[in-house]
Amino acid sequence: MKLGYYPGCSLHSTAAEYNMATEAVFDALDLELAELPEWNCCGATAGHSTDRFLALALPLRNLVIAEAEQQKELVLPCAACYNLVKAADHYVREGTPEANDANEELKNIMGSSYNGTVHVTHPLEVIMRKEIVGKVKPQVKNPLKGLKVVPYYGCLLTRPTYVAFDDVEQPQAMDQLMNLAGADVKRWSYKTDCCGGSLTVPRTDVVYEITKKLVTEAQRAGADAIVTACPLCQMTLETRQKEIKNPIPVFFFTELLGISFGHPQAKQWMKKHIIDPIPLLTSLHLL
Amino acid sequence: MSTVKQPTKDKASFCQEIEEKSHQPISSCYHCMKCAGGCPINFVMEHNNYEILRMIQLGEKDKVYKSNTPWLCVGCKTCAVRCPNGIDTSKVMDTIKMETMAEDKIPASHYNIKLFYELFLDSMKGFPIIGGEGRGYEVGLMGLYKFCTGDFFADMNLGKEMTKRGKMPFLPHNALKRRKGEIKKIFQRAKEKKAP
Ligand code: SF4
Ligand code: SF4
Ligand code: SF4
Ligand code: SF4
Repeated sequence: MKLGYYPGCSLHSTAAEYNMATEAVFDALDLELAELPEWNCCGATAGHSTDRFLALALPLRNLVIAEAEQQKELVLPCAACYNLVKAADHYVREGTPEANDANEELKNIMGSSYNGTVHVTHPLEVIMRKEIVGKVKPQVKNPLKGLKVVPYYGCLLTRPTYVAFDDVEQPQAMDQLMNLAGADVKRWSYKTDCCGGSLTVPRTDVVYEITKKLVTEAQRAGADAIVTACPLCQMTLETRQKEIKNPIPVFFFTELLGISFGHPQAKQWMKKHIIDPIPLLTSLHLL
Repeated sequence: MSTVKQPTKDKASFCQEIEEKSHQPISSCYHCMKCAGGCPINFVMEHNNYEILRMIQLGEKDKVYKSNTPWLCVGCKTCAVRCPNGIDTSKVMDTIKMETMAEDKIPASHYNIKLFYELFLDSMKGFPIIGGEGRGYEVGLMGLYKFCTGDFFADMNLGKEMTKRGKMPFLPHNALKRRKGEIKKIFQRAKEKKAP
């Protein structure tokens, strides 16, 4: 199956390992990712906090391209991009006046507008589909035995309701996948708490505080690592653990799937982490 | 019930204006505080999110504009999925930010948040010579932000660690080819739309 792919800026820079692992896992599951040509950044918090038109037009432009490329589905691994592009898609389908206006403007600029025909999705949703998740177990040649993890969904993957593909308060997709990969999934109450990511540069102090709470709670739940499905969640949790005595690694869910599949490149992904996960993985004979 | 504060007529129009701009039924908020209960940022907010809604209902525009709350809201939408009245408080916060910017009344203490947002968007328009239209560009963005805030040393180490791991390309991505200029035009239209 061929799917449109919008990596987002982070997967080309700060989260290069997420990009590699996601491509590797999709490949192993017979899914082909075709990168959207000439895609643009969705504007993130800076867009929706400051300008109503940009907040719609920037994500919509990507959907116009996806439609022109005849992509039925567009996969976005960054929760922030996923959220904004999904919301723009939602508003066009609802026909809100602001969305119609932004669409009209794009028609003038790009020559065509977005007709609401693309299914905007996230790698987690794709892998959890019945016909695909069935292929996961047979691939697990290196079960993550002894790896104690808590899944962290953060905010933008599960909220608001029109972007959610899982339960908004109690999502399960990553829990189930990590179980399939053989990890020891711990229960905790913070899986959908926000990490404050968008304040990470201008108000680092606030983010240190939140990260401290999240990581402490993960450790209290008995976890040795956190699993995420977003480059921003991962970066915030990984780089803001200053006040934690024994910092713990933060993985992308496709990295852990890739390790459980015994992917030969997995060690290269691990070398890109700021908090080195290799000691933990080798102590469990997983790498 | 003479002790309950009631907004005067002209103050009620402030509420109406924000309701229209944010598309949120602010007047139906009955202060159940479910939104505040789940807000991850409330520990540094001057006012809880529902307090801002109450202040808007009462037309206390100056108080709302001066509060740090809208600037610290990270848009995590916990409030939105929990509100029994279907109010997405984060959209109200975004609207307040846009209004304070339009009226040039940003609290001085939060100027750097606005600056960060502006530089982020600016970096998407691309830079002279090196280009980079359409994409986020970490090195350029951080450089500008540090230059503008004078905060040169925060995160220097992190930047080094990222560069070492090949995570911070020194030059921006130049991804736009056939569609070059589209992002600039989108920004141009945004500017024109804002002009009075
Ligand atoms: S939200 Fe972040 S990762 Fe996504 S496209 Fe924008 S800058 Fe890139
Ligand atoms: S980085 Fe934080 S704010 Fe952004 S999606 Fe993840 S949890 Fe939410
Ligand atoms: S949850 Fe809704 S009704 Fe309750 S206080 Fe918050 S905004 Fe008001
Ligand atoms: S969206 Fe803003 S106000 Fe609502 S819970 Fe999140 S940080 Fe608090």
